[in-house]
Amino acid sequence: MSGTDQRDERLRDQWAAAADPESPGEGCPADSEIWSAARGELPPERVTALLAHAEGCSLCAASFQAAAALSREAEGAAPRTAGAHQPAGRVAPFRPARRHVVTVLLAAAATIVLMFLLPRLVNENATIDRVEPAFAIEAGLWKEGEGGGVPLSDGQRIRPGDRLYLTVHGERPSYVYVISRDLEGSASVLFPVAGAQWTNPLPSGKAVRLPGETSSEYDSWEVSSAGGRETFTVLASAEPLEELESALALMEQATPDTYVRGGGDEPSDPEAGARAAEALDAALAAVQSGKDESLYAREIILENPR
Amino acid sequence: MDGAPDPQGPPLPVEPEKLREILVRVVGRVCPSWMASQREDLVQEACLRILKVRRSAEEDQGLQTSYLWKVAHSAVMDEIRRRRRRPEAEMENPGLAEDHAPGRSPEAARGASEVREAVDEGLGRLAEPRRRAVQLWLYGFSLQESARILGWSAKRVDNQRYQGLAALRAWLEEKGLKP
Repeated sequence: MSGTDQRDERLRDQWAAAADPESPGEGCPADSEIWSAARGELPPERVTALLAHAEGCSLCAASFQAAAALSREAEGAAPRTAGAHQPAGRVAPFRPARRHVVTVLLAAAATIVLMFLLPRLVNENATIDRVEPAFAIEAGLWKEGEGGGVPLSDGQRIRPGDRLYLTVHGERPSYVYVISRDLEGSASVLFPVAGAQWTNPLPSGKAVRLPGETSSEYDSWEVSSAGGRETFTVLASAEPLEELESALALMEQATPDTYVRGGGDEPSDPEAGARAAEALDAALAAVQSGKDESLYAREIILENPR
Repeated sequence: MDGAPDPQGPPLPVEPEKLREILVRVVGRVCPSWMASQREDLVQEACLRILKVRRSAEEDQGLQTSYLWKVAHSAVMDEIRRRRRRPEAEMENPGLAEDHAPGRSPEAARGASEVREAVDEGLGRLAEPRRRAVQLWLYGFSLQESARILGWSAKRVDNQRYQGLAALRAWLEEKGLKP
């Protein structure tokens, strides 16, 4: 367990130890409903409402805690007791190394096959990773290497000086948006950006390299500094995403050949960054829940340690 | 969705000692410091209630094993509520309760209280998806459990939780708090 993990465990233990449940107030849900939520038996909308209530009700928060502890006992796993560390074998919130297994498998595939865009195929229970494609986009994030491009996928490490690019191959013209975010909330629009060779919509039927390519050389986003964990979000749509574009216009923009990245850089407009992050999360949630079937979304998480 | 629980789940242990062990662990996780001196009684009461329900169930032979886990949850929470309402001396004197909390000094208890307040405040400042992911983590749910509860992919939970906790840490540092 890393130092950060241990600090977070201490934080949670202190938080739990200081609980002082109040008497039930109006609108408290029944324990049986919280139990059902903990077992994954309630629709997400209801779960969200219960969690919103529990935020301001320490008794219901305690009920969720009891449900978590009992649920774990019910599934035969070792419980997490106050002051104890997370048992081995469980997925911890900060454990980048876990991603490397996935990384190796995905890297071998050479291209991250993404999906999307055709509405009806995204059912209510689909997750981003499970959508069956009808109109496919193949997109791959790459790092320039001596022997050619090195495919990047979840958990892989990048460092300052690395030059990254994305390849996109769509079967129909598509509006593509690429954004990166680091742990500090600093976000950069990687595409579309002013001055880049390509603009939306990207053409169909051919592999397009982003941010661009010229007859003599390729453009790439150069990693300029370390920033912890970096999340690259790729969104695509058959139609322009106007709300997202408005938010992105206020954010820090990468130049076509330099990807200014890392925690050392102050976001040019933190509030705009936060709004864009909200817009992104909403778009991702819409894809995941199947509510917006016209979107394609993909997140690729890389490690960029300081 | 991956990781869906067995609708029945394993049966609750038949032996009162084992049932008690489970309840001690659960109550130890949930029971706040002011109630530390009452944990034994709370466990005992909850244990008795569960055993009573189970005896009825054996007579009926129609109760699902999953129901007994739900009963255990309800019994623990009912006992917490009941004791919270009870006007006992330690509730009128929080310092006394802190003295009863095993292994925790009054300073540590005050520090934890300060952290809790700041965490709750910081939680409210997070964007909705991050808030929910961190909230479930605080409650003790694993990544897979949180994914199942929220109807998200585990990857999304992991990412939202990671970013939410990073923001929460920054918030605590800003307030000069170090867990």
